[in-house]
Amino acid sequence: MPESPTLSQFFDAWELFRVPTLAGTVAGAVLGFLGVYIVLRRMVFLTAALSQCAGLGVVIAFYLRTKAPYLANVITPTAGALLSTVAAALIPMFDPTPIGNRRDALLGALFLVGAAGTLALGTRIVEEIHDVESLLFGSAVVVLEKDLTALVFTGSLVFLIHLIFLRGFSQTSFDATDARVRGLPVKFIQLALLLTLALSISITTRILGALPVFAFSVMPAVAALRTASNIRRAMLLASVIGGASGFCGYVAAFLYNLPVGASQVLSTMAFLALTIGVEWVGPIVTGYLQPKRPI
Amino acid sequence: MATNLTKSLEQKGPLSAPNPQRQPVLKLDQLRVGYGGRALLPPVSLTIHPGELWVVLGPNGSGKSTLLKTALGLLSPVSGTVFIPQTVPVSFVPQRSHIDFSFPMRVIDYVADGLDRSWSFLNPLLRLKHRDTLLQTLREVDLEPEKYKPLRQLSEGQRQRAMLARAIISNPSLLILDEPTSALDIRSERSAFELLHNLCCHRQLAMMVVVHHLHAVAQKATHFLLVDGDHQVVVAGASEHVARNASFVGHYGVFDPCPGQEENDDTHSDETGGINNHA
Repeated sequence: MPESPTLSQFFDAWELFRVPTLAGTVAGAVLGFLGVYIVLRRMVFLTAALSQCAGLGVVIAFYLRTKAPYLANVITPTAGALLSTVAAALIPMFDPTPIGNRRDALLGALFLVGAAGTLALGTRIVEEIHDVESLLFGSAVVVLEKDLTALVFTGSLVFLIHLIFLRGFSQTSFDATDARVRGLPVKFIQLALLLTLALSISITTRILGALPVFAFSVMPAVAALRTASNIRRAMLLASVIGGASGFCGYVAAFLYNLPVGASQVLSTMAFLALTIGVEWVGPIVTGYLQPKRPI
Repeated sequence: MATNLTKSLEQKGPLSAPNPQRQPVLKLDQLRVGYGGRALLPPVSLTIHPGELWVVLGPNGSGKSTLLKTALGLLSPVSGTVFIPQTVPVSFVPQRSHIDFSFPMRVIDYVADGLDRSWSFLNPLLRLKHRDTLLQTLREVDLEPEKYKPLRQLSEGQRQRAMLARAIISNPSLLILDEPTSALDIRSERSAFELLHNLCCHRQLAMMVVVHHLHAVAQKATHFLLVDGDHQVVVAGASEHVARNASFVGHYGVFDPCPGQEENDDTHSDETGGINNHA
């Protein structure tokens, strides 16, 4: 019977796993803090739709490359993901219908077009079937150094934009009407927020796959928002939880021979469970430690 | 019967000339509000000056909030104009249901957010620079002891005061409030209007408040604006004058806005609401 892999074996082979582990960590950290807006603005379904559309963009790029190999340098999977995600993000942004049932229906349609399109087109590109599967289920074991560089660059850019626009993003998310009365360019700020989401989701979906990207953009924020007292702390905590989920997910995939994407999703769940546990146990411990008043 | 009672008030004209020192903070000129080019109400004309407390009254769905949103520039007017001088900062307190109090925010963060009215998003020292103003405003609305509490832990009355603090911290000249006391009991409602009245007097703030119940605010109001889309009625003017109007009496009964004072039949209001006996 073969021995189970150990943690020391993982770190012994760190050079082999360094790039995908760091890619998961960086993606988790970036999507973690963006997830705070996603959860607070009730845009969870938008993220799901965008990640599926990013997948469709990648598959379209693969398909076009097989049909026109001379365009391989122009039609890259990353460019395909970026274009399709931005296009999908702009559709609900410029839909004049007020937020409500029809907006949900629109996002549902985007999700289905992305998912079904990826599957349908994926069967036409047999030579890239492994990449398509990786994309859908996040089983990407190998990540290239240049992908990690692109991810770090994108993450830094998104972080910088959010640092500069923090007050605007926060105010328009909390109370868009009040922001409009104050004269803030609400449409522009919301467009900027949506584009940073689209950019992050397209790059991370291309590298990690749709499933972990969806999990990173929702679960760490849900966990952080349970405990943080303000948005900045929630973002910091969500970023830490997201990064830790990306890292631990990869390590757990190695230790228990799991698909990486599924393992990273389960890690985000484990952190959420931990937060809920702390939330429950914390007051009990605090109450127990407080000195008792004499009766 | 469709009547535009604003017209009838306009014709009476002011008895005393408006003080030229007191520049208007909001002027609505023949403003028609509505959706999709269809007007909900007859044209509204009024002018608000500093220190005036305008109470907007009317039944549910009568067009009060639409009028407010149009005055704030959130909706386009069907016709007519809204004039707010460029130098007049405006604050708005929306209906309580429009605010998501599950947002992770402490009272101090929420109120401090009201300071930033510009593009200066990258301004980490903003709160530090205005710390005294922040604390003073929290004291003014009696929320200083709760400043580090999360918003979601506040009572309805405290939330309402926090919303008010956020609106006044930037020292606006015009404050517009949409049903600020809708979730409060009678006692809290009275104390909320007491606070608004004090702010109005001490800061020379012009206010426009939408309310459902007249009882809590009646004695504090300097002006009334009664709107009723169903009957196409708009009545605007000084409170003691509007209170004698048949439409007002039909909606709210006979009411004396100045108890203890003898009625002065010579007191009139123009369409600008220029007479301000209570300010």
